[in-house]
Amino acid sequence: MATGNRFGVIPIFTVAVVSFTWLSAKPAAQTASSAWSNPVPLGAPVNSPFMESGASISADGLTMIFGTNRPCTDKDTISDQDLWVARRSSISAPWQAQCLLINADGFTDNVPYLSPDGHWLYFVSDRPGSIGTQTDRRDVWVSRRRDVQNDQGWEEPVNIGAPVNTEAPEGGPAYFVTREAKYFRLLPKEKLIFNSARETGSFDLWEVSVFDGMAFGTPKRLDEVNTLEFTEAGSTVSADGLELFFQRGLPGGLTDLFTATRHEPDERWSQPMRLPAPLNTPEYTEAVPRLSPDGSMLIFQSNRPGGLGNGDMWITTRPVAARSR
Amino acid sequence: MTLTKPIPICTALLFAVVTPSAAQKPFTVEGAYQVTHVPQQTLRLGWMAEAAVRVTHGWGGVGEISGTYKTVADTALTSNVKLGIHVYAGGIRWTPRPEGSVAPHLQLLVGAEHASVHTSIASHEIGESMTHLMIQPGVGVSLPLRGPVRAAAQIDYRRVFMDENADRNRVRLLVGFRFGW
Repeated sequence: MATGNRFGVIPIFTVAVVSFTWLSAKPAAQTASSAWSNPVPLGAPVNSPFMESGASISADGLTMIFGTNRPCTDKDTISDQDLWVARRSSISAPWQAQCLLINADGFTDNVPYLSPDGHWLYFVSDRPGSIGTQTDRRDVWVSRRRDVQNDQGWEEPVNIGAPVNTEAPEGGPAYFVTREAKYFRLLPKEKLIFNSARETGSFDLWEVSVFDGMAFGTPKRLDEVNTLEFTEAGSTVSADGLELFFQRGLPGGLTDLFTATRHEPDERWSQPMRLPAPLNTPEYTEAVPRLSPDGSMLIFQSNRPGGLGNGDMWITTRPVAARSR
Repeated sequence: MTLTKPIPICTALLFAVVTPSAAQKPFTVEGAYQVTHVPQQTLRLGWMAEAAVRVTHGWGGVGEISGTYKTVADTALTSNVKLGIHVYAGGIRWTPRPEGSVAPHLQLLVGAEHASVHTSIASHEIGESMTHLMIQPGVGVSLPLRGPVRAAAQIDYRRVFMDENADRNRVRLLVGFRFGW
């Protein structure tokens, strides 16, 4: 009996080790050269012992919207993910954070993306009105505010609907505006890159046209950056639409940050390159990158040591002239 | 740059009817068809009108207005995008052999380029335009046809003074008729 147990344990242990190694493995890829600084945690009150992710910063650098599962108030007993806003009076002043009023109690609201003009907020939610299965109803939602200085001035969120949202889960909205050479760089074309599991069952990146907060046309799957083996999600795009950052990893496993570029906004993206250490780490997750509108700051989520716990926001900076294209 | 079929056809026709004739007149007006190439785009529908006056034996002044257009079907926008460029310019022209039957010329124009884009998205009309200073050196030739009418052809390079990251270069090709007094 004891011998049989021993022989049974070995293959189980082997399978477990192989599975763990496989799930923990990060995707192999070429590493991008980088002018990014050593990442540092944002600290309290943006970070907390709870999980934070998707910190989207305004063009003036004074407002940041992020997702967290911390309670909105002392009386908030519902454990869900909410959108928070942090504001500071100057670049050197401390952040003051508060919960946004547009959150839906008991539902997930996270992965916010603030448009560079500060008027539109795209985010992910499974609140009532979302399309999808009972197990994962995540959709892309949008809200607008007229006064960019009013942190609570967001209007009732609207499900962005088809063609972005489907029965499959969607998320990771990244909004940007391109001006193509063939239109004399005059015509502002609003775009949204988002992740969807509609075709492969795991997240891939898609791109669609947007106008006045709503998507239209046929979404285009970004085949040049997607893989069948890994999930691609949580994208962010430079304000001119020429530089892309996103997370890539095995479903349920660790993820790393990747980047791709293009010379014109109507071209295909280059082959994605993994961001080098110390932006990525071999044993921790890096996810949900957010590029500042001027391209000088990259804020991302990581569970590496040095934060306040459970996934924190980290920031790295570079000279704007050092963009990788 | 892709040349359109009408240009070589028109040029061939013009050369076919060339007759030895008088020298270029002191005052001329010209109407022409033009093709303009901007980065990633060739606008094949265009017109140009100019008036020129000879001041000395070889030197003169010239002024022109022109328009060039294109409609692009944009699949991402699911609508057509209408492009237009209008130019208002004036400058100097040097014709080394105004008395010759074949009269080449060099010219340098300075003026304004007005570029515009219009489209419709979700029943909303969207239009953007910009006007910038420009300089346009060019070289051309005219040939006598009948009486005061001459055939003219010209190629120009246009430099538009706009933002550092914008696309500032254009090439313009035209063929037309010049009338002299």
